[in-house]
Order: sequence, then structure tokens, then C-alpha cells
Amino acid sequence: MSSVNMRPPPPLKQIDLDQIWGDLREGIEQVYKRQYMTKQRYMDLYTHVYNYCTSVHQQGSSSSPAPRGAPPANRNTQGKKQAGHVHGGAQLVGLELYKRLREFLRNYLINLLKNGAELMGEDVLAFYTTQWEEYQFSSRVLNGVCSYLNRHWVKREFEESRKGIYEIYQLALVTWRDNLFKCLNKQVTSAVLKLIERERNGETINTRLVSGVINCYVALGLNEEEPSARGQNLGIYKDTFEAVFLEDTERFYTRESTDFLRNNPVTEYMIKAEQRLQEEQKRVQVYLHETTMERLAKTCDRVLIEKHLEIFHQEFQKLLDGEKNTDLGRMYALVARIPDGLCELRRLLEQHIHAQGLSALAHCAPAPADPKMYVSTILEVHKKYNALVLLAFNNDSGFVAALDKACGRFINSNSVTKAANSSSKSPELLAKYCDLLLKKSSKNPEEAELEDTLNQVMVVFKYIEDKDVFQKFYSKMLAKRLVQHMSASDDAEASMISKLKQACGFEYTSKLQRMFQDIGVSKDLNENFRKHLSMSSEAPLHIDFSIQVLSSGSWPFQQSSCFQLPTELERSVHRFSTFYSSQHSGRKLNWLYNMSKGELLTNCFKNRYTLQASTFQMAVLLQYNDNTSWTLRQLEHHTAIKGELLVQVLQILLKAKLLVCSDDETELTEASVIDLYVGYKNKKLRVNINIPLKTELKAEQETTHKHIEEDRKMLIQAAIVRIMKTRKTLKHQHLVVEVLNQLSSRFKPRVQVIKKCIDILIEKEYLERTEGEKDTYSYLA
Amino acid sequence: MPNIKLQSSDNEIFDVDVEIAKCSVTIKTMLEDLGMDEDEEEVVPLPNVNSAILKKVIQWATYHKDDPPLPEDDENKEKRTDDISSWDADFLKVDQGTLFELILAANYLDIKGLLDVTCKTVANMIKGKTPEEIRKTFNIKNDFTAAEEDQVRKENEWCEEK
Amino acid sequence: MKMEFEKMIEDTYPNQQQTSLKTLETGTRPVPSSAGYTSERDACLNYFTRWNETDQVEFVEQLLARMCHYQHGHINAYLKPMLQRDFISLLPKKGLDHVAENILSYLDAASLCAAELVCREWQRVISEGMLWKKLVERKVRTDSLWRGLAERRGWIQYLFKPKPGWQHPSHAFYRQLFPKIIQDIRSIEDNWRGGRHNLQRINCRSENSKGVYCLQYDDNKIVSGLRDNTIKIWDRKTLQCVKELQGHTGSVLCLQYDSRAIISGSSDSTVRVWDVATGAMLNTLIHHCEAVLHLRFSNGMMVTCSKDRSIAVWDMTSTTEIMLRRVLVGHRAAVNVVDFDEKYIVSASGDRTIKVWNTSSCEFVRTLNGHKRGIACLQYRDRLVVSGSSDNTIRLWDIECGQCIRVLEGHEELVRCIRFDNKRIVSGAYDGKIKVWDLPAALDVRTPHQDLCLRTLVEHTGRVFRLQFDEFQIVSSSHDDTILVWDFLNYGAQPAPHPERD
Repeated sequence: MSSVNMRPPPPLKQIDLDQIWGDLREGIEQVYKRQYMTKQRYMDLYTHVYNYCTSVHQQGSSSSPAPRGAPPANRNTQGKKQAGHVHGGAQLVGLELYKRLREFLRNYLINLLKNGAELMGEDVLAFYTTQWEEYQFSSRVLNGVCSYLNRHWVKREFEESRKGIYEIYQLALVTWRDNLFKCLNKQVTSAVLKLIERERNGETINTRLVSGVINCYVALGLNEEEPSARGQNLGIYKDTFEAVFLEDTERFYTRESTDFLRNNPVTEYMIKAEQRLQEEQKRVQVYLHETTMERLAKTCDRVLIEKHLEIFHQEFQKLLDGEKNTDLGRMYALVARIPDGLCELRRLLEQHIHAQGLSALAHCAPAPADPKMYVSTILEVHKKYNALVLLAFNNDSGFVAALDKACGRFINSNSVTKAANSSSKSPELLAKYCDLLLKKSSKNPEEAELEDTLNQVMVVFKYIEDKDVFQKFYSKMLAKRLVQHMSASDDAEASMISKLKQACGFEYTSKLQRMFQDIGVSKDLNENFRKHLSMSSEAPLHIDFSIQVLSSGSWPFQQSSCFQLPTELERSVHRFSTFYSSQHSGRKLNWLYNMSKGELLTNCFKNRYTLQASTFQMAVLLQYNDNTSWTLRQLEHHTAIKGELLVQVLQILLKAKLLVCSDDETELTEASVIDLYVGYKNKKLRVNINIPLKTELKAEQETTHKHIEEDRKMLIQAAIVRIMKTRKTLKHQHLVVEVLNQLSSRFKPRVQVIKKCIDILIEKEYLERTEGEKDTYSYLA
Repeated sequence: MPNIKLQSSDNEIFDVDVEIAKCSVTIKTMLEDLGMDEDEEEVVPLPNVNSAILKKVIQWATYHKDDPPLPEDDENKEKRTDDISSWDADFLKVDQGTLFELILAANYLDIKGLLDVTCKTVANMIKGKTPEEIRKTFNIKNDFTAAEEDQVRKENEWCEEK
Repeated sequence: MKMEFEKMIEDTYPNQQQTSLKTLETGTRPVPSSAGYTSERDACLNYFTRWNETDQVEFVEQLLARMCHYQHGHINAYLKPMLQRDFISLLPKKGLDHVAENILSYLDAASLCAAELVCREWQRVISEGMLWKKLVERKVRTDSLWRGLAERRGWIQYLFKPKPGWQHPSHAFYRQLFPKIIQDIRSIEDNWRGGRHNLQRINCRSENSKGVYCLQYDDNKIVSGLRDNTIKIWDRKTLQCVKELQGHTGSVLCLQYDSRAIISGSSDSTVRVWDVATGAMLNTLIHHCEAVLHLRFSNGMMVTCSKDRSIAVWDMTSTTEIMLRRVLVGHRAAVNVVDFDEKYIVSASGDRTIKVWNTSSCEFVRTLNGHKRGIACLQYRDRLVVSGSSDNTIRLWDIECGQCIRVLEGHEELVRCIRFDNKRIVSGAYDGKIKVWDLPAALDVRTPHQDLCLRTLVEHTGRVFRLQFDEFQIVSSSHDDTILVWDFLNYGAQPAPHPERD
């Protein structure tokens, strides 16, 4: 044995198929009989296949190489019968074994079929699924035993695009398909469908029978073109089962839904449909292939919902009217399954909310609208439908849009705005409502409640088109609150401003914020002025005097009509002016006498009253220190207050019964004599006689509206210039669209106004019409 | 971790951690097909591997048991032979006979990592050598006739001029 | 069991060792043996065979220990071939042809040539294993030059899986094909170095403002952005304009496209997105407040840069969903060009600096200083940045350390556009000249300056605005209102190697 020099030349490993086939076949039969297999036996079988596949056949591979280019003619004994033309590399052994395995499987299945061919109904299902499961299992073991064949010979066949060769497990499936499935699938499929119909009719079925068949159909879907591709091809499942199943489903539900609707209310039907859809979804999960989900759902949606959409739409309005929110939610969920199905529902909802809004506001209309009532009416409608959208309609963006659109429409145009003949009535009322909330009063709510209410205000604010109008009114009223120290809470004011900033940006609130700063600065200024006076060598002022310095750009105040400052005040004003100009040289102070006020102590009446009065009132009243009776002409002369204004001032004083006149207060003339009424009486010792003048109020509102128009023109022009600067040239239509876009957060510019603004800019030579191009502008740098 | 008993062709039995044994796809597939019974004494015969080589194979598999699974051969990557780890290089410092046996065993047991690294090692023994050097490396007799050799050499001349 | 054992023994000594045996007999035994030797030896051997393996080994070790150095030498010479294996010949005898092929498939062309000359069996294995075909296929898979050539020369049809029903030619075909490909590659390389090309010229015939600011091409089309505010798409075969995209209100300064969209930037300060198939405008991004000078996009991300000195980083979910992620500020003049990968965003500006930013965090990383005037163009890949400047130089930078590796001098005016691949840098300048540079040489500090510029190509009559190139061609565009295709593959009447099958 150990003799080295006796070593023979290495023999070629030669194993004929017949040498191993007997034992291998026995082993495979064992596998398909589902007998217990030891690991030793398994390795024996694997090794048989390995030895066969690696066997080499005589005719000497050591012989001289074949003529170049010609395929090697050697080594072509059994197993390598497909002579020649192989170019992926040397040939491998395997074909003969493969053929025998195929034959074995075929015979096995032909025998098997004999036991099942006559069966029907559940019997055929039981037979088919049991056999399939066992076959599948056995074939997996066979595949493992033959893995060397798969790994090399089969793989090489794939690489050379040989048709009809599969991995052994796939071969087993193909053989099943060709021998068992082809003969039995009609009866099997129809048995499955019967079973499903019975389940739909409420019976309990053995779902394993169905899932077994489905699994088989899925597994049989092989990709014939690309047998090595792992991806599944669901052809068999789709063709043999799914198509028929969907037809069945459609038929079943068409009949059921029509019958049900004929005998039951729509609301009942919706519950039924919902339940059916869930059942079908579960059906796919339990025993069908997941890809069926989509097509099945579509079929059900079509039959159960889409076909009855018209009935649904009619019902929707009824449900809205009856506020049946649960049913609305159900209808939404069902209709949402249909592509574009919701459009009509959205339209109906928008219409409904709009109508509800209008009718709610109609109650506020005829009397001059009360801001609080107006706003809370709007909020009530909004709240109600917001909740509906949130709960019943799943906050669906389309429905949110419908809500917004409806609210926008009825808030900006309703019986109140029509009565006022102006769409800017809404922002005005809203601003007034804010003023009510933020002004000191006995009815001021708690801080938390106030914050909540302000948030509500912002809800309405969002819908306001003319946000610039709101801004104007709001800043007017804020200014008054600040100047007159009437703000209920600095925190609340700040919070409101930050809300507005969030909604409209920094620019929108910058003036409001500067107003706050001015008030702060003024506090310090008064402090300094007082110190200055106490240090001063000049005689002290004998009256309490405080001022607020407001930067003219930020405050919506106009200079007052001029008049003769009472001598009592003159010195104070003068001292302050000197003090201020020493601190800020170059700043000009304009005195807003109309905004100023003072307190007068009376010594002429029975009681000592403190009168809170405007500067004009003070000027008039102080005249009575010198004399208890003046003609109107004399008063005008002394106070230098213009006639009409003076008349109004006097009217208020007459009404307050501080002064008396023999003429009727509405028919005062220059010659009317006005006396001090020494018998003046009042329960309170502090009396506020400072009531705003009518003309002032009216004039203010007019100028506010006029300002808005002018401001808008400026904003539009600025936007046009901004756009043209980057675009250089632009068509008219595009320019208008961009302008509308940029300004939409402030107000809705009218196209007519935009056109006017373009003309202004052309005049000012910012733009020109592009020569030779219609409706096109160019920017002039 | 359960063990499995592997028996070599010369009847030596190796008690191996199942996870290590599963480096062999052949064994892994078998265990999946037959199921893994606990505390089983059943021996798995490997009639194509002798004990000396099986020992080496187990040594290699033990070292590599925690390797991430090999990526599928990416044909778009260049085939490299310079990426053999130093442990593998040391492990494969064996005579050619052993290397040859390892290749056979790796193929039989379907251990892709081992087959790759052994093939690369052989390729490295060929790379960059002249025909004569190759013959010397593997003890090969030149069986070309002078005319044949000339012919091939001429055909391959293009490769020389660089 | 017995059979098994024999087999194992055979397996262990498969080589025929007759040559070595002869040497042993003739070479080591000049002296006749003693009389009893033969019978004694046989007795020993008889004992030996009865022992187990371990004992046998121990016994031989004892024997060896008793021998002299001279004898050891002979034993060694005897033993060595017994340990050798001719893998390539032996594996097929074990039915493992595929393993032998696998080993050989690791070889390069030179080693494969050598392997063919080892012996007939090796030659047979190489032939049957189709190893030359496999080598070509591997090259085509891994090397863009080979891939491009395979497609352009048509021999790709002989590679990979044959179409069902087709058969590939024999091994000899591929063995002859390989050197032809090598030759073809060499001649293309020579064409580049010699500046030998076929020139195709597209005249854009713009009406008002002439000039082509930017372009990108593939095998079928050239997409170009023009000074006259349009994007024009040209067919590569006919050189005709097949589509004109209108929408920009300023010159189209930059563009890039992929399989879905063309994205363009313009002096109207917008970025627009177009459907590459239909030409429909899908999206307009209004962000920059001055001209958009350059843009790049890939993998759901886009970077744009502008005359407004800023760089914008965008997230692209789809062509219609493009959201601004970050604005990078820091440059003190117009940002002329940007490029990026997963690691860095690189930008270059008229302020003479290149700035590097972290792609994921958008944080500033470093500035590359060196150019003496503003920078007009740049490309960045892996670690390398190549930039061209108004100081007429090109600089190569290592992005990681910020070092300038090399300055390329030669252009006589502003270097307006630049691209590089693994082999070459190609640059275009305001004097209309295009220069081709040797990249590996430029990266090697030992290469003298005069060896770096391989060729200067002069055809444009105006500023070269943009170019792109691959292994076979350069496509360039210019202020002179033309697009030029410089084809180095099909120079002259050179017959393309298109081997016939036997």
C-alpha cells in the first residue's frame, strides 16, 4: 500500500448514472412517502448526486486540445449528450439525472391524480390541499438533496438561456402544474368559490381549504421566460382564480345592495356596506393573496358605493339639515373610497355652511351692528362646522377648504356688510370687538378667558379679505387705548400683536409695536422732566403736568386744529418744549391738543367737583374764571377755537349742565349768551365730561377709509416695482397674477386699481410698454 | 448552542457547534430540510472529506462563523485577489496537496467563502509568472511541440509590447 | 471501506512523478548496494506498512535524523514534487471544471497569455472555459471605456447571455478579439494626444443674442441653454434641433438633466424644472434675487448658486416638490459655480475663493485660497477639486486638507469651463481655446510642467462657455453660437475593428 513507485496514474472519476440511480430513487421514494429520513441517509443521497455530477468520462481529457474554435468533442458520454455549442465554459454533467427526476415526479403525480379525478366540492379541496402540502414539503427535501445539481448544472443551463430547465424544486412545481393542476383546477376553483359564497351568506367554513388552494396557485406562478428569477409571477393565481372571484363578487353585491336599498333607509345601508367592506378586507388577509386587496376593494367600492352615489348625495343634505354627525361621518368614509367622489359632498357642504352663516348674520343686520354679537355669531357658525369637519370628515383637506371658502364668503359679504354697503364692515367690526375686549371696563374677562377669546378673533381674522382695513382701525383704537391709559392689560395687548404678526408678518404689526415703545419711552421722559424741574432754578409749575411723545410715523393721529392755549398751561408747555429740544435737538414737537385732557377743580359750585375735561373744554371753562357770562363770539375770540368746533364743545358743556344758554343748544349763534350755571349738581364728585365730538368721530372714519385707498395704491405700486425689478419684462396678465399673489395676505386688490397703478408707474418712468410686444412691460432701471 | 456530530471519510467524529457547521450550505440545507432535533446523537457522515481536511475546514469555519453573509457576487466589481485577510493567508500557508483538498471539500460542502479564498490563493500563484515559472510552481511538463508553442507565443505577442 | 481508503491515497499523490524518480535512481546511487539490502529493505517496509500513521511518521523522522545534509537535499528534491499539484489540470479530472475556470478568471490578460503557454491541458481549460470571453465581459462591466467601446463598436452583442435561440461564436473569436480591442483603445488614446478628431458643428442660428451658455449630452441628444432665453434640444444623429423650451425671461446660464427632468437656471433669477420627455415646464423656483449662475442636483438634493452671493440647498422630493433646505452665505462676490457629493458642497466665487461646506449639516468647513482673481469654474470628485480662474490658471486641490496640489498654466485668458475624468482634464477659455491635460501626470509632482498639456484645440471663434467629455469625445459650446462635437473615436477613415465571426 505504501509503495510509492507503484502509484498508478490517477484514474478519472467515473460514475454512471445507473450506479447511483437505484439507491437515489429509493431515497426519493422515501421522501415522497414522507417516511422519516436520517441525516446519514440524506447525506448519502446528496453525495450520490455530487458524485454523479462530478464524474468524468473517458476519452481522456488529457488528450490534445481540440482544434481551436471547434467545440471540444471529447468527454461527451452520458450526461453530456448535448454535444457542442456550449460557450459558457466546460460542460457539466446533469442532464440524464435531471430527466430521470422529471420522469419520477411525473409518474408520481399521474398516480396521484387517479385518486382525485372523480372528487367534487369539499372533497376535492381536501384532497388537493393535503396532497399539495405534502408534495411541497417533499419537493423541498428533494431540492436540498439535489442542490449540487442546482448549483452547477442547472445554473449553467440558465446562463446559456436553455429553455425548459428549472431548479429541482421549480421542476416539481412545473410538473404539478402540468399534471395535477391542469386536470383539476376547474373543479377546485369552483369549489373554492362556492365555499366563499357560503361564507358571505353567513356560514362558517373551513378557511384552510381555501388558503391551501390559494397558496398552491400562487406558488405555481413561475416566470417561464426567466426561470432563475426569484420574483413571483402571479399569472396562474390571477387567471385561474382572481378574475372569476371578482366577477362572482360583483354579481353577489350588485344583487345584495339593490335589494337592501329597496327595503331599508340609506343610513342602514351605509352600516351594511361598511360591514361588507370590512369583511372583504379580512377575507383577503385570511386566505387570499395580498395583491387581490386592491382590485377586490375597487370592485366592492364600485358596486356598493359608486353605483349608489346619487342616493348618497340626496341623503347628504338631509343629514346636514338633521345634524346627523355619525351618519355624515360614515358617508364620508364610504364616499372617500371613490376617486373624486367627495367633490359633490364638499360642494354641498360649502353651500350649506354659507347659507347657515348668512341666515345667522341676518339677525344682526337691521340695527347698527353690535361688534360683539356680530363676531360671536360668526364664531358660532364656524365652531359648529369646524367640529363637524374635524369629527365627521376626518379633517379632510378638501372639506377644510370648503369650510374656509364658505366662511370667507359669508364673513366678507352678508346682510350686515350689505347694509353698510362695504365689505370692509367686517374688519371694522372685528377691530371694534378687539377694542371692546382690550379696553378697560367692568366687563373685562379673566386673563385666560381673554386669551381664548383673542384666539377666536384670529379665527375670524383669517377669513377677512381686507386685512389692511382691520389694521387701520385696530391701530387707531390701540393708539387711543394707549394714550388714554385705557388698556386693560399690557400682556393681552402684546399677545394680540404677536398673533397678528404670526398671521401677517412683521411689517403688518411694526407700527403697533413702535407705539408700545413710545409709551415706554414717554414714561422715562416724564420722570426726567420732573427731575429737571425740581433741580431747576426757575419757579416750579403749579400744576401736575405730564406728556407723551409719540413718533408721528407710527401713530394714526392728525394734528389738531389750533387754538389759544390757556395761559395756565402755556408755561408748562413751554418748559417742556425747551427741556425736550435740549435733549433731542432737531426734533419737532407737534402738540395734539385734541388728544390731551386735564382735570379742573371747581370752587364755584356748592360742592368741590373734579372735572375731567378735554383741552378745548378746559379752554372754554377757564374763561369763566374771569366772568360768568360770555357771548359765543367772545368765547371764540378768547379761545381761538373755530366756530363749528366751538359749538360742539359748548353743546357738550350745555348738556352737562355746567353752562346754560337761553337759546336752544342746536341753534346757537354768535350772539348767543352762555352763562356759567352755578347751581351745577352731580352725585359724583369726579365727573368725566370728556365725550368725543361727533364730527371728530365721523371725520376720523372718513379719513380712515380714504387713507386705506391711498395706502393700497402705494402697496400695489411697490409690489409692481419689486416684481418687475427681478423679471425685467413681463406680460400684463402675469404681472397682475403676481401682484394679486403678493398682496393676498393683506387685501384683494381690484384689477382696475392695478391697471391704474401700472399707468402711474409708466408715467413716473419706472416701466415702459415693450415695443412691438403686445401687453408687455419692461422695467426701466 | 447545540452541537452536531460530523463524521469524516476515515470515520473520525467531530463534535461541532451547529452554527459553525452551518457555514456549509450543504449541512445548513440538510438541517432545514430534516429539522433539527434537540440532543440528537445522530452522526452526519461526510464521505467525501477525510479527517485531516475536515479538521482544517472546521478550523476555518470556526474563525469565520461570525462573518457577515457574503454579498452576492457583484459582477460589476473587479475580481480582486489582493483582498485575502492575513488570517486566511496564514491559514492557507499549506502544501499544494492540502490546498487542493480544501478546494474539493469547500466545493462539496458548499462553503463559498472558503472556496473563494482558496481559488484566489491559487490564482495568486499563477499571476505575473512566465509559463516556465508556472510550470515550475506546479511541477508541470511542457507537452507542446516546439511548433505549437511558437504558434501560441506568436499569437500572444501583442501582450508583451507595452 | 477499502475502496474509500485507496481513493484517498490516490488523491494525495496525483502527479506523475516519473522524472523525479529517475533522478533519484540514477543520481543518488552511484555505489552498488550491499548484498542483503534488498531483502532487508523489504522486511523493513513490511513492518512499516503494519504500523499506524502516527508511528509511520515518527519512524521516518527518526530515519531522517540519522541522515546527513547531502542526503536531506536528495530527500527534499524527492519530496517536493510530491507536495505539488497541478490544480488546473487536476480539477477537471475531479469533475470540477468550473473551479479551474474560476481560478483562471482571476487572471489579467498577461497572466492568461502565460497560462495558455503552460501546457496543452491548461490551454484546453482556458479554451473550454471561454476565459477570454469572460475577461472581456469583466472589463466591460467594470471599465466605462470598455463599456462605451463595446456598445459603439458593436461587439457587445457577442457578450453575456446570448439572445434566446442565438449562439455566441467560439473561444478563438474572443481570443482574437481581445488584442484588437487593446489596439483600438491605444489608437483612441493616440488620437487624443495627437488632437486627431472628426469635428461636428451645430450652428444655433440664434436671432437676437447669440451664444450657448451651457449644455449636457448623452448618446441621443444634446441639451443646451442659450443666451436667447431658450433651451434647445439637438438630435445627435441629425444635428437638428428637435425641441425648444421657452419660459425663461433671461439667458439660460446653467442646466442639468436626468431621466426625468431638465433643471435650468437663468439670469431672470429663477430656476425652472422641465419634463425631459415632453418639454413641459413643471415648476418654477423663485428664490434668488439675481441671476442663477450654476446648479447641480442628484439623489433628491439640489444646490444652486447666484450672483446674489448666496448658495441655496434644496430638497427634491419630486419635480414639483422642491423645498429650500438651507441658504449658505459667506462669499463676498457672485458665486459662479457649485458641485457636491454626499460629503461636501464646493463653491467658487468671484471673491477668488473656493469654499467647502458639509453636505449633511450645511456648515462651513474651509476655504481654499490661491487663485489671484475670481474663479469661473470647478469640478469636484472624490478628493479632487479642479478649478479655473480669471487669473488664467487651473488649480488642483486636495479637498480634505485644502492644499493646492498643482497649478496648470497655459491658457491666455480666463478659464471659463473645466471637466475631468480619471485620465484627463479638459478646459475651455475666453480666447476660444480648449486644452486637454494629462491628469495622472499632473497629480505626480515629479512631472515637469511642460509635459502636462497634451493638446490645444482651436476651433471656436468666441469664448468657450461650457464643455463636457467622455472617453471618446468632447462636446463644447461657445459665445460664437455653435456647439462642437470633437470625436476622437472615429478619426479619419480608420476602419473600426469589428471582427467577423468565423
